[in-house]
Amino acid sequence: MDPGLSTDLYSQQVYSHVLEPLLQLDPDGVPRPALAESWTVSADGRIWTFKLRPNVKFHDGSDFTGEDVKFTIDRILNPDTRSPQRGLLSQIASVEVADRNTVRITTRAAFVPIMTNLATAAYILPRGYHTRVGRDFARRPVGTGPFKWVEWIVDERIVLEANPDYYGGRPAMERVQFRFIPEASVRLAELEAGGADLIAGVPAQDLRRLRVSLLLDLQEVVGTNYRLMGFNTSVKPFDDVRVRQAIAHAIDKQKFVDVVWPGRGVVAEGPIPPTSWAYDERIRGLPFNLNRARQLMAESGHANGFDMNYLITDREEERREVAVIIDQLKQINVNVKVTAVEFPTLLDRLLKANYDVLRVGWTTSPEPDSLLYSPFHTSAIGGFNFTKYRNPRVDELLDRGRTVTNQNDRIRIYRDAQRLIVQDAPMVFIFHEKRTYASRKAVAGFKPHVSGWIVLKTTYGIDVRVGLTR
Amino acid sequence: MGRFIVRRLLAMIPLLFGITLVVFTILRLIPGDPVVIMIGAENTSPDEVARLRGVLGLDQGIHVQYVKFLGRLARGDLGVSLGSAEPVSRLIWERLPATVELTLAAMAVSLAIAIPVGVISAIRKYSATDTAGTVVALLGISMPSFWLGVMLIFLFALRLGWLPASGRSEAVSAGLATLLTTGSPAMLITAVSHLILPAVTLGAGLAAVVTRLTRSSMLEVIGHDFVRTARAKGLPGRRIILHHSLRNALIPIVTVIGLEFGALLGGAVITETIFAWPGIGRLAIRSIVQRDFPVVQGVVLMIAVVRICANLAVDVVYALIDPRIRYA
Repeated sequence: MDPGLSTDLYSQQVYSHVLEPLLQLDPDGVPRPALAESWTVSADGRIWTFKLRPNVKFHDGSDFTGEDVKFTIDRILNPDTRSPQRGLLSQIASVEVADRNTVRITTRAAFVPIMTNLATAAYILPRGYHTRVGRDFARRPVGTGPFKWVEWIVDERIVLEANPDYYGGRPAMERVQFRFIPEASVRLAELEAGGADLIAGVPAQDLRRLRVSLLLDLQEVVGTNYRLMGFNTSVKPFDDVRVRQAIAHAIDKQKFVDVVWPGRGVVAEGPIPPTSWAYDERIRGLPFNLNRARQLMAESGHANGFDMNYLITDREEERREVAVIIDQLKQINVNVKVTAVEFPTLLDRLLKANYDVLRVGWTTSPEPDSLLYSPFHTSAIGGFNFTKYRNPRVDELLDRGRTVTNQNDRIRIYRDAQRLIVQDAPMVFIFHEKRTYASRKAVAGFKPHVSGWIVLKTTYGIDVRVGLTR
Repeated sequence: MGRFIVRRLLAMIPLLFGITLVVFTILRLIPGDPVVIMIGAENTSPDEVARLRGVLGLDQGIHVQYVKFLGRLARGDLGVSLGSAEPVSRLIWERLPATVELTLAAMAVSLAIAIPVGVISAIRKYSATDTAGTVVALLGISMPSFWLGVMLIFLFALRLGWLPASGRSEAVSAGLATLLTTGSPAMLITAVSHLILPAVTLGAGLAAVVTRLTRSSMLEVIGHDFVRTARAKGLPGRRIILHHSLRNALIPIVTVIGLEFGALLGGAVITETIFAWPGIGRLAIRSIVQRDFPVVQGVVLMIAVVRICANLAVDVVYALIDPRIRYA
C-alpha cells in the first residue's frame, strides 16, 4: 500500500481514501484541485506553478508543505526506488519548492498530460513520517485524506476511520472497510447477504436481474479502454491497408457485442470511449459493409481469401468471441485459425511482435495521450506500438497534443489523429468494456469513476463495507 | 525410531534440492515478463523494462540466478517479491496460519463424518444406511469444490442466512484465547462460523474417500479369524468393532489421510479463492498470474516441506497403531 511502489488498481482504490494527490480526477477524468488550490503554466508550457492548499495537516499531525510534494516526486523519479509509476512522471525534470505553499514543476518539454499523471501517480507522502518508518509505510500509510488508516489484515480486510480534522469537513461515516473477494459470484452473495454494501465487478449473468432489483442498485460506466483486433502491419497480407480495411468492414460489431458482451460493452468507433472528455461523436469507425469488404479483398488480390492466425487469451469470453469472428470473416473467405494462450504469454508475443493478428485490450487513465501515444506513435515501435504502425502525420498530431493546454484544441487534435488511425486500420476497434458496480440502497448516489476507481463520498450515514476484486 | 526420523529428515535435503531446480526452471520457461506485468502497459517503455530487469537481476542467465537463489536459501532467505517488494518469507508467514487452520478444520470435519459412516456402513452391509452412505460418498468424490462451495454459500449464507458467505474475520486460536482470558465467546463463534463452509467444501472430497476406504477396510478385517474368535469368546460387539476391528482397519486409512493432507493443501488454493480465505493458496494464484517468481518458489517449497513432513508423520503413526511395525 505504498503509492510509490504498488502497481495494482486495488491498492490504489484503498490508499486514495487515505492519501491525496495535488490534483484529483473528477468522475469524468478531468483534473480538479485537491492538495493544489490553483496552478499556472509558463508560456512555453514547461513550468507548472502550483499553489498549495494552506493549513492542511497529515494524520500524524505534521503540516503539509511543498517539501512533501518534492519528496514524493523525487522519490518516484529516483531509480533506486524502483517505482512502477516512474514512467508516468519521467517527463519531469525538476521539482522546486518556491515557498512553503508554492511548488514549481519543470518538464523536459511541454507536456500537458503531466496533469493527469500527477493525479494518478503522485499521492503526496508525509516526508517526516515516511523517512522515519521507511518500508513500513506500506503497512501503515499516513496521508491528508478524509480517512485514517486503522488496520490491515492481509488478503482479508482494510479498515479506515473518519479523519475528524479533514479540511473538506469530517466524513459522516465512522468507518470504511475494504474486503478482498476474488470470486465475482461470492462478492455478489456478500452484498445480498448483507456482508458488503458496495461491490466492484458484477457477474455478467446477474446484470439483468440487478437492473430491475428493488433492493440493490447497479451502476455501470464505460471505462477508458478499447478492446481491439490488432494487425502486425509488417507481415503479409496485413501490410496491405486494403486487407485490414476489408476485415474491419466484415466485422459486425453490434452483433459481436450483442452475442458475447450483452449489456457489458458499447461498440467502439475509435480508440477514445464516449465517457472521455476527449470523445468526439463525429468519429466513425469503418462500418459493417460486406460488399465493400469483398471489393477491397478483390482489389488487394485476395478474392479467394487466406488463412489468418489469430492469437487470443484463454478467457472464456474471448473463446466465445472467436466463434463470432470465425463466422463473420468466413463471409470474405478469411479462414481464422485460433491460438489461445495465457495473458502473460500473449503480452510477451505482443511486445516481440511475434504474431499475425491478435485480440487485446488497452486500458489507461482518461488522458487521450495515454490512450493513443504508445499504441500509435512511431517512436513506440518496439514497445507498445505492437502493430508497427507508422504515419508521420499521426506522429505530428500526437506530439502536438502534448504541448497544447487548451482543452478544445486538444479535442480537435485527437479527433484528427483518430480519423487517420481509423482509416489506416492498424487495429479494428471493436468495443469499449463497461465496468459494473452494485450497491445497497444505503449507499445511494455512488458514482463510479471513468477510470474504474471507487471514490467513496464522505456523506453516507453508515459504515460502508466495500467488496473489491483480487 | 529416533535414528529413523533423523535419516528421513536428511533425505529431505536432496529431495528439496530437486524440487527447487524443477520449480525454478519451469517458472522461467513459461513465457511472460514479470517486469512488464508489474509496471503495467501504460507506464512501460523498453529501456525502463531493461533497467528494471537489471535491478531485479532478471537479465542474468538462469543458472546464475539459480545459484544466487540457492545461496540465499541456504541462509534461510527466500528473496523479495517482485510485485510488492516485501520479503517472501513474510508474505508466506502471514498467510500460513489461515491455510493451516483451514486444512486442519477440513480434515477434522471429514474424519468426524467419514469414519463413523464408514464403520456403520461396514457392519450393516447392504442395508439402507449403507446404500445411502455409499451414494453420498460417490457424490462427495464427484462434486468439484468450486461448485460445492458456491452452492453452500447460496444455501447457508444467502437463503438461510445462518453463516457468513466469505472471509476469515478472526483466527480460531485468537477466539479461543479471548474466550479463555475474558470469558467472552463472541469472537470464537464468529471465527468458527466463518470456518465452517470452507472447511466442509475442502473436506468433502476427503470425507468421501475415507468413508469408502473405512467401509472396505472394515469389511476385510471383520472377515478375519481373530474377529470370529473374539465373537466366539463372547466379547461385546462394541469392543469387537472399536478395539479389534477398527484399530486394524485404520492402517490403510492413516496412509491415505497422510497422502491426502498434501492434496488438501493443493485443494486449499481453490477453496481459498472461492471463500476469500486469506491463505497461501490465494497468494500462490496471484503470484503465478503476475509471474512473481520468488513468491511462487517460496510457496511451492513451503508446501513441499509440509507434504514431506506429513508423509513422515504417517510412518511414525504406523508404529504407534500397529505394534508389529518397528523402525530401526
